Amino acid sequence: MDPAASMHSFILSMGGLVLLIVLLFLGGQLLPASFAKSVLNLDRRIIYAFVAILVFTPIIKPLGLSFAITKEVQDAYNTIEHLAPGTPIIISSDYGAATMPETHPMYIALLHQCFKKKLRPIILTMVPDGPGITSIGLRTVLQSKNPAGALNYPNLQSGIDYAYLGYKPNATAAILGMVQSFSGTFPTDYYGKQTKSMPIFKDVHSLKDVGAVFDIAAVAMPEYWVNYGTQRTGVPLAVSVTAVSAVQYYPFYRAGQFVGLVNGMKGSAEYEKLVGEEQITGQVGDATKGMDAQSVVHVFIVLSILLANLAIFVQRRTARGATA
Amino acid sequence: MTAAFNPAEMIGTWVAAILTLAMFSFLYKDNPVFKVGESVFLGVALAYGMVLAYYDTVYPQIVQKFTGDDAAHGVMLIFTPIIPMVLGIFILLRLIPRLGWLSRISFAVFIGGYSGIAVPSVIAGTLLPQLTDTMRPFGPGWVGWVTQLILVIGVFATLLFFFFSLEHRGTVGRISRVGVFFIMVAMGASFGNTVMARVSLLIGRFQFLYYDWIQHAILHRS
Repeated sequence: MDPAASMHSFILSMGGLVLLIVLLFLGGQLLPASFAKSVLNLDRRIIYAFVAILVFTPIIKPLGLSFAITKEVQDAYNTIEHLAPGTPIIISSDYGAATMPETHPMYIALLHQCFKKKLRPIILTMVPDGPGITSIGLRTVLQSKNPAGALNYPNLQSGIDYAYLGYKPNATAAILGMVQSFSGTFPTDYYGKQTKSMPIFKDVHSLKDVGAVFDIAAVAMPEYWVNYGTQRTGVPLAVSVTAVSAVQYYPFYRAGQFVGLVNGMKGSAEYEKLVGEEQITGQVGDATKGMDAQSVVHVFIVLSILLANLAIFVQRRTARGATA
Repeated sequence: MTAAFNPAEMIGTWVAAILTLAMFSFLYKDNPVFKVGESVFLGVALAYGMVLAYYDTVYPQIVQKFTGDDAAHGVMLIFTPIIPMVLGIFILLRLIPRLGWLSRISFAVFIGGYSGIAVPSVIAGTLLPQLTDTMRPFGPGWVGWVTQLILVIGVFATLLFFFFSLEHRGTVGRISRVGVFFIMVAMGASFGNTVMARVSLLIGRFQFLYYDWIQHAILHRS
């Protein structure tokens, strides 16, 4: 961000903070005690109902709210985009059903980008609930059609244009194994075919031979990739993580250990936008579809936090008045 | 547009939708429908885990090493399937108190081996690069300068907060309180991201209910 924009954001943030403090102070002084009582004793199910309505409404009737591309996501996209056609890349899809809304759209968008750019993805998973979801995602992309109704990728062949290796337990051993040999670590692919005989592995013997690693993770797998794989080999590592774990990974991005960082559903929506998924399939990506609801609910949560704080201010003032 | 009817897919969608609603019913209050959904999930997850453990670990690492096309022979037979298998059996012997001590051998091998791999890897892969990045030159520009200054103060103050050999009084106490401020900011960022993550999961379930169940399975629209 340039200095002028930084200063602008800083002034806006400080102005908002001052306004907030003034509003809280005035509200705390003027609002009656009954307000605090009703807010603080509110049945939690009413809040759940509000959240449900606010999530469901934008899904039925999209608002089309815009969102910007962040530098972390742009960097991840550029890393893959700048690879030469034919370059093999590893997609480590380490997520399960529990975090699909955040991670699966990213996986789909990344596969579209790889196939569009004629890269050769080698897909694997190191979490037990990954194989089913990952294979469904791969099938979805391979069977996807363009807006005219024709297959997007009609001539792609397993073992030549891509490889799906399936699940490998023990991430440490699996990554260390890949640093030495792919076929030794994955003797067969997900469908039981020998990897040694696959054309895709003809010039890919170990981790050093791939153009990049993209880890889509709901668990701490990026740390395994850094410690046992990419730091040893110097292969660029981009990651897509759930929003819960994103905070702990920003230092890795800042230090250059991750070349890009995609944060949760918002990051996935940004990636869908960069890849142009709507233009490829004629359908808006799942993460992009969810962004309206995400924004609306965030506003509701911020207002709820403010309201609850205001009620506490009023309650304290009332309690002070009662003791005086 | 009317969607193609796939019976297996329809049954799957209906089961998933009913189980999703069963889970959501807990938000009103605990009830038998939720309990049934919870038990189904646990049963399925356990069975899935057992099948996966057999086919992805036991079968390729043990059964195929004895009987497969690339079965181990000679010394490799002892080192690849037999010794790890014996060490695994030793862990299971914890269930028999008289022989439980044998499991210590397995744990010693596991902890020793794993530490040998993990300690140098984590130092070279995380600790040193992160330390180097903390000590990078100030700048570029005033934004970079201020950012780096905040980072250095934050790291120093937070580390001091977790240094318990000195009493947190006077100067040490004041710097520790600055550390607490940084920890609170980090927790706020973490909480904000957690809210975003949980809302995303809710959106995912509602998208499934609306697009896959209502639109596709009930109204047969694609």
